[in-house]
Formats: sequence, C-alpha cells, structure tokens
Amino acid sequence: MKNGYRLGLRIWAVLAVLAAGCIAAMAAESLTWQISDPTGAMDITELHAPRLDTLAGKKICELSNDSWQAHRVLPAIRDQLRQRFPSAKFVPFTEFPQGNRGIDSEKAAELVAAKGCQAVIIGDAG
Amino acid sequence: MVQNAVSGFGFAPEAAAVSFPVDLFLVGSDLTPVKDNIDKFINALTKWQPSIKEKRAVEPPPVTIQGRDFEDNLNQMNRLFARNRWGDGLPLLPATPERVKWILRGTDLAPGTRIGKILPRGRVATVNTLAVALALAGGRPEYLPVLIAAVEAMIDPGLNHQSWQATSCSVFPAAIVNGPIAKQIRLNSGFGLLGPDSVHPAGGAIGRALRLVQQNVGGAVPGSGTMAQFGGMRYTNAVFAEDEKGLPPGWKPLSVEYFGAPAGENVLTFYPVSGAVNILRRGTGKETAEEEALASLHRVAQYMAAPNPNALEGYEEGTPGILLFSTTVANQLAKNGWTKEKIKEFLWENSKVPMEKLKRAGMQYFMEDKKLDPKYVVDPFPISKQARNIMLVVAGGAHPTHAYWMQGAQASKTVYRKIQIPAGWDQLLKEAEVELGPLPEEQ
Repeated sequence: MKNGYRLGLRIWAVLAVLAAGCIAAMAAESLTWQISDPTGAMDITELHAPRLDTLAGKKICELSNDSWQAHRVLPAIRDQLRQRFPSAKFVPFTEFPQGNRGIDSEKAAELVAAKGCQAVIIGDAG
Repeated sequence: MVQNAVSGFGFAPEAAAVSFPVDLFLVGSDLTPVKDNIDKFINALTKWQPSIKEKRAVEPPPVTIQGRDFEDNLNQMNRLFARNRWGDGLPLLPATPERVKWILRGTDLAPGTRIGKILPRGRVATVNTLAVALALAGGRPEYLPVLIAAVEAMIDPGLNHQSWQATSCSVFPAAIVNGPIAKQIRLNSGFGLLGPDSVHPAGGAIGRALRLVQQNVGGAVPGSGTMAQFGGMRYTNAVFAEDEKGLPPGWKPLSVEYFGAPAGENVLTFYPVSGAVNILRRGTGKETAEEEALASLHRVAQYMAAPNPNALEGYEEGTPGILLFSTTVANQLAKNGWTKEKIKEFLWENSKVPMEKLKRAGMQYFMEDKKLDPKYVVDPFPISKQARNIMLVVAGGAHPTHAYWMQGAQASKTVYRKIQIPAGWDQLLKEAEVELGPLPEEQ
C-alpha cells in the first residue's frame, strides 16, 4: 500500500516535470511581435466648452450645413426647446453663413461671438 | 462622423451629439422624433462631459502579438485588425519594427517628420505612419516617396479632403506619376494600369497604403466615418503613371502641360474622382481615319456631357475629369492633326450641356447652392470653366479600341507635388531587381 502510494507520487512527479518541460518548450517556441498601431498620433489642442447649468434665459444659436432638411429640422428643435425654456433666446441658422464651408468659416465663428451665443446647435447631416 | 469632425478640429474624439436615422432627413419627413428626443438635446447642452479634460499629444502604444509561430501571429494580427476596423477586408502583412525600418529606407526624412493631419478624424500622419501603412499593404521602400507625395498632395487645402473623405459620394483619389521614378519602381502606365497587376505591383501597394491612411488616420471607416454609399474601387485607389514614352511628338507630359513642372522631374498629380467609365472609342473599320477620329471624339464628349453637381466645386480650378487615351489612340489622333490642346478644346466645346437639359435635371439649384459665379451659367453650359481644366493623360494598353473617363469630384483645385528621391536610391532599385526580377518589358 505504502509502496503503491510512493509509486503514484513518483508518477505524478514525473508527469509534473514533463508538463513543465512542455510549457517551457512552448514558451521557448512562441513568437512575439511588437507591431505598430496604424492610426497615427492624436493632438488634443482644444477642450470642449463647459456645459451650461440650464438653458433658461440663455442665448442659443444655430448653425446649419444646409443639407438634408436642415431648414425643417432645426426650427423643429428650436420649437421644442422654446416650449421647455420659454425664457431662452434663439438666433436662427439663417443669421449665419450656411453650408459646410459657411459654418466652417472664420466669419461664422466671429458672428457666434459677436451675437453672444452661449450655446450652439450645429446641424451636420451629410 | 461627428466624433471624427470634432477630432479633426483638435478636440478629443468625442462630442455631445444627438443622431437620428436617415428617415428624419428626407423630404416631407415626420419630425416627431425631434420632439421625442428633445431631452437628449437638453442633456447635450447642460450635462454631457468629455472623458478627456486636458490638452495633450497621444501616441498610440505598439501592439503586442504573441503566438506559436509566424502563421499564428499573422492570423492573430489580422483578426485584431478586423476587430479594430483597421483593415480593408483583405489580409495585411505585419508592420514589425524590422519591416517598417526597411520601408523607411525610401526617404531621407526622419521617421517622426510630420506630414499633417488627415481629416476628418484629424490624427497626425508622420513619415513613420506612412511607412507602417506601406508595410501593412505589402509595399516596398522604393514606393515610399510616391506615398509621401500623395499624402502631402491629398491634404492640400484646395483638395477639400475633409469633405470628400466623409461624403456619401463614392470618391477615391487618382494619383498620376510623371518622371523616371514611374518605370524605376514598376508603376504601370500600360495594359491593366488600374489593376490588379501582377507585373507592376507598385500601384496596388501604394494605393492600398493610401487607402489605409485615409481610413486609419483620417477616420474614413465605411458607414460611420465615410458615408460613401458604394465605396467603389477603393481597395487600392487609382495610382498609375503616364506613358511618357508613348506621347505623340510635341505632346507634353501631364505634369509639364498642366502644372508647368520641369520636364523629367518626378511629379505626382492628385485629384479625387467619383467613378470611371470605359468608352468604346474606335470605329467599325469602315470609316476613314479622319471620320473615325472625329466620331470617337464626339462619342467621348457625349460621355463627358453630364449634369454632375459633384464637379461644380472644382468648376474654376479643378477638373471635370481625367481622360485616358492609350499611346495608340493619341498617336492616331496626332497623325490626323489633333494636338493635345485641340482635343481638349474640342471635347470641352462638344460636351456643353443645353440649359434646358440641366434645368430638367435640377442643376440650377446645385449651381445656386455651390454659389457658382453667374458669369459661368451660360447656355449651353460647359463642364468646366475652360478647356484646359480637362486632364488628358496618355496611359493604358497600346490598343486603339477604348478610352477611359474618370469623373472629377468635390475638390476645388488640382494639386501636384514633387516626389523626393532619397540617397541610396540606386541601391534600393538594385535590391528590387534581385527580389522582384528584372524590370518588366515595355508593353
């Protein structure tokens, strides 16, 4: 009985040594690549504007890329916000340059500042 | 799309946005979804917070792949690229440091040299980024100068790449190379020049690498970063050479005629196109040579005469399209007295579209939208400001039958860049000859 127990231990020990040997062999045969991420670097040079505490009493401006029914969708958004915040003021997209180039222009940025916009909703369907 | 746009302006790639399915944006749509989602607008303006709150440069760390052997690693890498949307649907090769270093022998520029931001996502492409793309695409060192010139050209502000990278139009870049480098690196100018091409592998690899840069650095992922409905031939873009040896006597290469570059200089011309059509050009053999020439030019002109809103952006300084004539066709025409300038003038004159047809196609609204100068709105309407805007390139297999027309799209001007050759160029070419065999024979 005692001998059988010892024999069993020996067999387990041999198996353990063999298993360790196999794992070591596998590790030795493994191949590691350090490959480049293809997405390039990112420069974060601008920070998102802080959010408003409420829209009540605030001036909300609209910019439109003038595509895909912007002339209907932006007024619909305006109407819904006005119902929720009657004291909010709106400057419609028609008072700013329109189109992809228009809303991307220095003139649009200057007008947003000049009109005192506190929030801007940009319609950017494409 | 919006994440790409804000990222392009230098913000973290995230935004307070409310998006809707396309149905809302169709003519006569039901606007109820706006009412149903108004809390999302309020939340975006009052509660949304970005996850990155400081200005900084973020370099992506290298990616570790560990497997049993080369095959296992390659499989793992391609699966990882598929999960990350970094591939193009075809297998890629690993951009290991060794392979990237090898590709970098194709330039004297330091690996960290900044080429510029690729929009709309706005991540930064360096020389190393382009070498990585070429390594993935199966490229070689001697292709790198052309890829660098192509990316430099693509981000020229006049090309509006931020627009056509993201548009629903299936735009793809066409890059045409003039100069001795074309033959040296096995860039095709003859049979099968738009690929696939087992004889001249350069165009496929360079164009594929460019496409990977557009997607991985610029964010043009189908359906979210680029809304190109059909995609169309964008696995490898269109990268080819002009058949300068096949130019008829007196015809100048594109780079010289169009941009005034010095003859013999390595130059890359770049313009986005939205499609390509094969035009059966020859006659039946019953016509005289003069009749065939005239009829073929009329046929080509009628393919070019299209109400194309996408060409209005480049009406003044862009091109309505790139026309490919083989050396056989160009020489046949030249023998019948057709100079390059005369052909372009003829095609421009005979591709004018009657205003009545344009109005039936709704083009007047696009002309107003694009703010086309009213002085150009004449009847019949020319497809570009002047004949010289048309790009006529001698390229394609030496055969008389067909012509090829690639319609221009959405860029306000044509762009070219000089291709910079590195020191040790001859050695690179010698190594290419050992590895790829002798240069292919002229076709």
